Order: sequence, then structure tokens, then C-alpha cells
Amino acid sequence: MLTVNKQQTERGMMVDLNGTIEENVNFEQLIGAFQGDLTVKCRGITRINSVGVKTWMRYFQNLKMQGKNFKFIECPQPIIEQLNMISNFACGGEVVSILLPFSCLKCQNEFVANLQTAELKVNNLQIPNVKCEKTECGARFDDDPDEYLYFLED
Amino acid sequence: MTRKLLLISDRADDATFLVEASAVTRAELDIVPSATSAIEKIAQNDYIAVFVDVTKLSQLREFEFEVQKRFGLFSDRIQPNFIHFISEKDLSENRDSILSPLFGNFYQRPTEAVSEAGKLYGRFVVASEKMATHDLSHFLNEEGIGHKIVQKVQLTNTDQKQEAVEAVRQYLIAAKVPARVSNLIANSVDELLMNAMFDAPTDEFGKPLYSSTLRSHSRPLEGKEQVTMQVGFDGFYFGISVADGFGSIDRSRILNHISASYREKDYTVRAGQAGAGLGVATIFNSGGSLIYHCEAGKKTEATLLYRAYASYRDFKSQFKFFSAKFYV
Repeated sequence: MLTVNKQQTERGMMVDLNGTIEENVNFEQLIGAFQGDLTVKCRGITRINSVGVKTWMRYFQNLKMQGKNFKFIECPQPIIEQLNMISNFACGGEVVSILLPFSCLKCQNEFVANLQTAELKVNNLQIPNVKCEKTECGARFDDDPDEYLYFLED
Repeated sequence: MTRKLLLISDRADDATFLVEASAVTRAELDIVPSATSAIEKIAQNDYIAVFVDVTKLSQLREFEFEVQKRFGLFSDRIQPNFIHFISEKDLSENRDSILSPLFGNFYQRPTEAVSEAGKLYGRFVVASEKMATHDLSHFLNEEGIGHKIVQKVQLTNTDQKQEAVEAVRQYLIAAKVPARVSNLIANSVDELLMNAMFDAPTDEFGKPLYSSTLRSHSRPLEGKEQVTMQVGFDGFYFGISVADGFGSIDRSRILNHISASYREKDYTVRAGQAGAGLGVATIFNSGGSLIYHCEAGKKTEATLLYRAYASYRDFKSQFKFFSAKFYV
């Protein structure tokens, strides 16, 4: 099940997606009409199945055809997986920021760091050093950097 | 009669792996360096499994050539179900192997924990032998943490899919599997259930009944349409299997889906709902082993096996294999 929190501002609409994107999701109904640009906050998306992928692409490809501008922020692992697997998953939208998963070397705490894709590109896709939120000790990037950031490669 | 395995490879690490596997299968292991020297052995022995190093395309072609020359590529004497390709590269980089008429099983040569991987593969070979009594528990380790738990669920309505997926996710979380891994596995189970509920049912002529039906459509699953799901854990490995009563899965379609890449060209969203390609690719990329067992007209069983790791990174780099066994 997917829930959507919406916030319309003067510049556009911000939608905050939380939950699972699957066969029962209808973006047209959940997001509805909006003025200006669309910003999609993806942090709360826990998984997306193949029908959800098709629903996503159909919706955002339609937006693109209507000339709407949209961008994705705080993209979590399920969205990164799709961006890496399907070359046109973003449907022309800008992926502004992504969540990088880390695990603490000491307490095994799992957490994510939100990074701007522009910053990652400037730094040649180098994973930054991050400290654990709980113990302040070192943390390891908990994925394969080349695989995780594949979609950002030129 | 002595049960035997055959390894066609000149690599010591392949032998190490198969010594472990053969101990689990309680079968003798013959090792030969090339297909040329293997073919007479195959003619003279009833091997339960033949393992072939196909890292180089020349090795694959030599094996195909020798089999074709001695038995014919489609002979009953040597069937793809009993052939296991080994490669240094991942399956996604082995399109030639996938397209081979002799392709049945595949694993990427493990570089770490070779002994454990060999034992797992041995259990898989044993499970494959017990085809008539195919059961998830065959894949799990008797020696795990003292016991193995297998739960069986019968799904009688498509509405039950999300509930079943969520139940698996909660089962994994309760077993202290990281949330990211639990979500990833749950997603694969979702795809397997969708395939069993909507893609598997066919009429008496083999025509798909619901492949174009909206996946959100609620429908009772009666008779052959009932879907059986099993979930098991032995303390180290999770196993999930989904079975339908049709056995309608198409070998070449599955292998095409496995080798399809959506990275190189844009993915086109088709108007209909048909086509399990993206779902199969999702399952295959989830990190574990994937086993298809299809008895034509009777049943298809898809099984996923995952090693439990505390770290996602370790989980993703685990030893895995792919198998597509088809019985007419």
C-alpha cells in the first residue's frame, strides 16, 4: 500500500511517497492535478514490484509528454535498483538526491545518508566517509559502490 | 550401482568445490581436464550430474561439439537437466551459455567460502535427484542449527498475495534479517506469486488465461489454479518456493528473460499486462539462487535460496546459482 502526502507551494507540488508501489497503486488518483513542477520525495518507498515499475513509468512518461517538469529526491535502495536496472526509469526526470546505505563497523547499526547526485558526480562517484549516528565510529558503505552508483556514470 | 558425478575442468578450485558437493551427495567424483576426454566416460557411466567449465567460449563449443558428435545435442543420453555449467563470470555475462541447447544449471565459481558453497550445491544436486518428491526441505541443511522449519501455505484467492508477501517479510524480520534484505526477498516472492497466479494458468491448448488480466483483479484460485507457497529456514539459508499446477512455463522465454538487459536500451511499457520479463529479471537480480522445476502440464515450482547475512553487502555477493529443469 502506498500513501502520499502532498504539499502545494507557489513553485510547485511536493509529494512524499511512503510504502509499496504495486498493482493497486494509481498515481493519477493519488497525486492528482498540480500546478508548477513536481518534486517526488521517495525516502519512504520500501519496495516496488514489476507492475509497480510499469505503473510508475506510465505515469511519469505521461507527465513528460505533457511537458511537466519533475524531479526525484531522497531516492532509497528500491528506486536505485530500478534506476540501475532500467535505463529510462527516471523518464526524463532529474534524480536530485539519493540515500546511501551504511552500516556501523562497531554496533552494526544500519542507516542512510542523503547525498546530492551533483556532489557525487563532482567527486567522481566517490563514497564519502560517514560516521555512525549512534557510536560516532566509522561506517562502511553497505553495497557495491560501482553497482549502486552505476546509473550516475556517463 | 555406484552414483557418480563428472567434472570437466582442469582447475583445482573446481575440484575442491566438487569434492565438497560429492561428499554431500555421497557420490564418487570423476575428474577429466577436457570435453574430449570426458565423452567416453559419459558414454560408459550413468552420471547423476556433469559439471563443465565454460568460462571460455571455446570450452563451451568444444563440449557442444563432442556431445553432438557422440550422442547428438538433443539425445536422452545427456540432458540439460543434469548438466551444470561453471564460469568465472556471472550469468548475465554468459549469454552464449544460456543460449546453448545444453544449458540447464549454472553457477559462478565461488572465490570465498568454497567449501560451504560446495555443500550447498551438493544439497541442490540431491534435491534435484528427488524430483518425484520435490520439497523445499531438501534444499535446506539437516545439520543447520539443529533443525529446519518449513511452513506450507495454500493460496485460494489472488487477494491473498499481498498478505502472503507481507507474512514472508515479517518472518524474515523476526529472524533478524536486515530490513533491506527482507524487502528485497519479499519483492521476489511477490513476483513469483504473480507469475503463478496470472501467467501460469493456461487452457487445454496451452493458451494463457489471465496473462492480460489486471494484477489488481481479485479472483478465486480453484483446483489447478491454487498456488502453494513454502517458506523454510535452517539457521543459515532461507528457502521460498512457489508452485502452480500447470507446468506451462516456457524454457526459452525464461532463459530470454534471465539474459535480458534493460540497461542498454530503453524499456518500453506495453499497454497490456502480459509478460513476466521484468519480474523474472527482478527475481534473478535479488541476490540469491533461483531454481525452476517444470513438469510439463503438471506443475512449475520456482525456488529461491538465500544465505542469511547481517550485512547487505555480504548478502549481495553470496554464492548463487541458477537452474532451469524441464521435464516433458
